[in-house]
Amino acid sequence: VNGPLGPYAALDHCFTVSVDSVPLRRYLEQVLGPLALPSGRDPAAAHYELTVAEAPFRLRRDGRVLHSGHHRSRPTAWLFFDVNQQALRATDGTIVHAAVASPDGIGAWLFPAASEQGKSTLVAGLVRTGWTYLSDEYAALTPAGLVRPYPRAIALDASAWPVFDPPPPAPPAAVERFWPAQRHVAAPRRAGRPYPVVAVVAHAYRAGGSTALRASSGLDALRTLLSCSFTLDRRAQADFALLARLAEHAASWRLDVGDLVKACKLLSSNALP
Amino acid sequence: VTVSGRPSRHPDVLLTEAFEGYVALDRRTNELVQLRADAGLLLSQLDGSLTVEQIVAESAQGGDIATVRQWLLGTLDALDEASLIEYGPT
Repeated sequence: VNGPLGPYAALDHCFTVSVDSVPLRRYLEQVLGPLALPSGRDPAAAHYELTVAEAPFRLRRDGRVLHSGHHRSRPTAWLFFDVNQQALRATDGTIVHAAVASPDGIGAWLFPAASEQGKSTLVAGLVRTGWTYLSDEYAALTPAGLVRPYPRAIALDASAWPVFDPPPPAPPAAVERFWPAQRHVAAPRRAGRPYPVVAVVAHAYRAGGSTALRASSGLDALRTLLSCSFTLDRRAQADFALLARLAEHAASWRLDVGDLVKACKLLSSNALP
Repeated sequence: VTVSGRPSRHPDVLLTEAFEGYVALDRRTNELVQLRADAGLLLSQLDGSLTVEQIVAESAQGGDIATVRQWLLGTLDALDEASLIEYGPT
């Protein structure tokens, strides 16, 4: 199976991937496409090696075994988990657990939340209505408070698929067995440069709950940003100062999401003139 | 009111200028405290090197020492109540 895929950049984590399955290789090429580095840029990169053709199924990074087992679906999921973890380690600056999108291609809206609160689902809903996509996982901030794009394919867990009409497309059958738990959506409009942060939306998904958007205080936004910061422990004072400045100047909202379509409409009607 | 000792910002307290004053984060409790600009500025300068009386003298700079002392003691008391400062030896 040809040479490695890539190089790709997950923020400052650069990597290439080789895989011993032609259909999975084709699918990974699509899914990782948004992270592809421009041709001619070939930085020192970590190399992942996926072995899925026969057991034991493995994932290696630079020769080190990260996962080995008898479940065909695990190594690919591990690849994406590790890419995210390495991106967090390799990238300088403040990083907040947040989805990020822009309604107008100018300013970024941050949607900080803990895991399983519907970040990816919400941002997938927004990009369907025309928002520009920056990330479904990390808001990586520059010292000036701009948010860098991390436009990996939006990863939707099975619980989110029925929320969409039409549902996110399934991968080809030959691929699904390698990666059954998630579907990946490439956003049609992706940011190509850092955006200034103009709004912070603390949000939570409640199945069957009501949907409401209300203005909140800057301190409320700051509390949420601090609780979702991955880097507060290692960059305490710098993180705190940056997030306070950001919360002070951005609009602050709280969003309860029971109905995704309604939530996206509320956000768009408040974001666009 | 603690009137002796050398006050300093507690090492677990982060402080930054924002929201038209200062905001402090107590890492022990993750509590955010919004401070008036004068209280925040004082907290930013407390490093345990000066006694309360030395701070009064520096702050007064020829002005009304009694008024400065009253403000300083009241402000230190509020910062102490919020657990944002600690006192070193006199």
